[in-house]
Amino acid sequence: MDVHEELLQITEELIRFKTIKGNEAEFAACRAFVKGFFEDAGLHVREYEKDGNISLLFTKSGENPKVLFYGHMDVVTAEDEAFHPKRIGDKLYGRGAMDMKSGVACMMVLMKHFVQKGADVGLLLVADEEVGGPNGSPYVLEQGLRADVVIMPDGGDRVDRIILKEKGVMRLHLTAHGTSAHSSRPWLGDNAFKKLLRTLEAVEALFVPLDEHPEDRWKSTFVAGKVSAGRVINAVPSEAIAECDIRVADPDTPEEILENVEAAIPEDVTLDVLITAAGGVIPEDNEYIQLYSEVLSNTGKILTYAQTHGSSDARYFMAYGIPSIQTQPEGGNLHGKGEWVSMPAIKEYYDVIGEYLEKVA
Amino acid sequence: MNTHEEVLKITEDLIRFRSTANHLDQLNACADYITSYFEGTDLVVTQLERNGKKTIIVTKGTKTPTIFLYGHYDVVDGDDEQFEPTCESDWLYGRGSMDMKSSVAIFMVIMKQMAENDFSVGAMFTPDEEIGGKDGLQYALDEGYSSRIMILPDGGDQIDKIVAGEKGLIRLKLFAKGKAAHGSRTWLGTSAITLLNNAIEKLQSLFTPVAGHPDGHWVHTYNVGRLDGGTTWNQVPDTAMADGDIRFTEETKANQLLSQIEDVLPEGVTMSSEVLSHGVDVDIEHQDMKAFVSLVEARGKTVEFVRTHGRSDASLLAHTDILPIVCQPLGEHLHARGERVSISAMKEFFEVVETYIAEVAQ
Repeated sequence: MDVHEELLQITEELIRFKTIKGNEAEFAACRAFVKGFFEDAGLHVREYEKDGNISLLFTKSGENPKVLFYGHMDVVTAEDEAFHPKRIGDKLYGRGAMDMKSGVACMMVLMKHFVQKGADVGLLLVADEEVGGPNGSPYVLEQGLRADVVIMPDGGDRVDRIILKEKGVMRLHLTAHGTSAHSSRPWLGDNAFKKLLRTLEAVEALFVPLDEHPEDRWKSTFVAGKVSAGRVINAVPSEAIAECDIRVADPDTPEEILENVEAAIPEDVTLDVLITAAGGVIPEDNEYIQLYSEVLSNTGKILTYAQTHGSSDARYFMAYGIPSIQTQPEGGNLHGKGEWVSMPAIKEYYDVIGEYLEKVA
Repeated sequence: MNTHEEVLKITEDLIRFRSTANHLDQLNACADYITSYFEGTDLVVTQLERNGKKTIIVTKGTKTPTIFLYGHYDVVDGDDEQFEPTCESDWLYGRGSMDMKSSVAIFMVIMKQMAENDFSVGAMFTPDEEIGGKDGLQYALDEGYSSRIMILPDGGDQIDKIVAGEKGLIRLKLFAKGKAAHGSRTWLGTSAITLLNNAIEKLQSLFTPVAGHPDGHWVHTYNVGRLDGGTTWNQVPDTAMADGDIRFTEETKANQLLSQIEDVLPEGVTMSSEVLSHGVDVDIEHQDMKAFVSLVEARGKTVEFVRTHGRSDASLLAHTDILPIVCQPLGEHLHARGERVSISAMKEFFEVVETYIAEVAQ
């Protein structure tokens, strides 16, 4: 079997595991499959467990590797059919085909190959990226895992487009408190909803209006995703809640935005911070990025620097100053129906990363 | 147990039923409690049922007595602890203590006591005043129940404030339709919540701000009671809904007001409306009204005629010849936390109504 076919078959095997958050048996089977793949490779396998969430780390030496392959085993939900991979023309279809089981397959084969050559590489597989990753990457980093560079096929959309900036994310709940009264005498009440409305306007005013955004949209944004007030039609609402999503664009920081929000809200509106995760930036002139750019140019491609408004686990590594090579085989419909990955692109990605590893590992 | 202890006990029993519009089982349990109270008397007890809700009518055999005593046994929802009545000095606390289970209890006891005499009086207890009265008082009127006078202790806040007029009521729902997008790409979406907020602000500008209200607040008002938008925090919401009501003074036609509102609604926002009441205008010079006033004033009080902001079932009498007498035992905080009624005022109200029946309903 040639390596391309091997990559495709491993991708298909991985897609068959319904590794959706909560399907613990599927995750266990998936871990067993990967362990089985490395059975005779003589690797150290370490399991990191946090709140029932298991991450796997394979290394040759048992020490921190120079180059770390990063993958997440989990996928977002899909209909059963999406877990039966299909090849049609140049495309391989299935849940996780692009995000990111094809990437994991490439890294498994590369890992085995470079370990045999004595390179200092490691493979980390986490299980909770799609749900924000609190127990995966941050935990293993906390436990001391480090590397000089991380290979992360979880963004970029192509092999020649690399993600260097990620926005941070905050989930805030604003709760306005007032006094109820019958709706026939609204002057006796203190309308929590009106207060919330004014507060939302004040908070929104802290952000650059959408119609004044630069073309690349690299601005912090705010949206009240869910608002609810009152229980009955004929009373002044005494409580109103807005669940808000803030995306933080460098050079803004979550701390700074939080401070501004706190200053903008009145006293009888309370603020709860449910999620706060900083974004991250990798400098363009970072040596590992430049090296990747060189390797790519040898194949006749020019590297594009990109940024993402969503977030991946890369930001957790960025926080430790660890750069990531966040590019991936081309595909489409990730998180949607008909997710696919280009089969030639899998091989291309494998080749490019292989070349890159020759230089850095 | 004397009469007033009995009234108090019945009030407490009634408060324990969570008889809100969406608890049909509790409404019916409450109806059965009221019905069973009259067992063993010669009174005619009829349960009129529509849409699963029961109106209990207690008469001496005629559908048209001189006086009907009216009470509704439904309440608006509240916190769990409000359905366990408590007493503190002269106050009885609980959901419905003022609005209006104390008055239901008073009328139950009065009606039973009147069973043996010849006074022309009846009582009706309805299940749906808080949501418009269609299956209750309206149905009873449609079925031919009528009277010269109806006492409805569902407004005025105290016995010496008698309702002369009531604002009209429009239920107004606003719907906003935006465009969904992930929270990380807000520029791809249009927030329905923002659209709705803009619409509500535009609407509010049609109404006098509270700070500019005249004494007595006899102006139109608008309140959003419930608002729901979006499904999750990290998504630009594509739908939002605001449910509320408008209270209008009698000189404005509802349709006129509604077309003004339609004119200011921004794009992406639609409305649906229903006129639930066109308001009430009571003949305060009516001799039966004067008789009631003098009984109250005989107790050293000065009666004031007031115009109220809330809709009550009295508005259903607008196109009948029935004179509504709307005043009630002193109470506070209806539809809010800490709803309460004065126990001594319940006694006073009991006595005034009892005397009034004896004078007027010979």
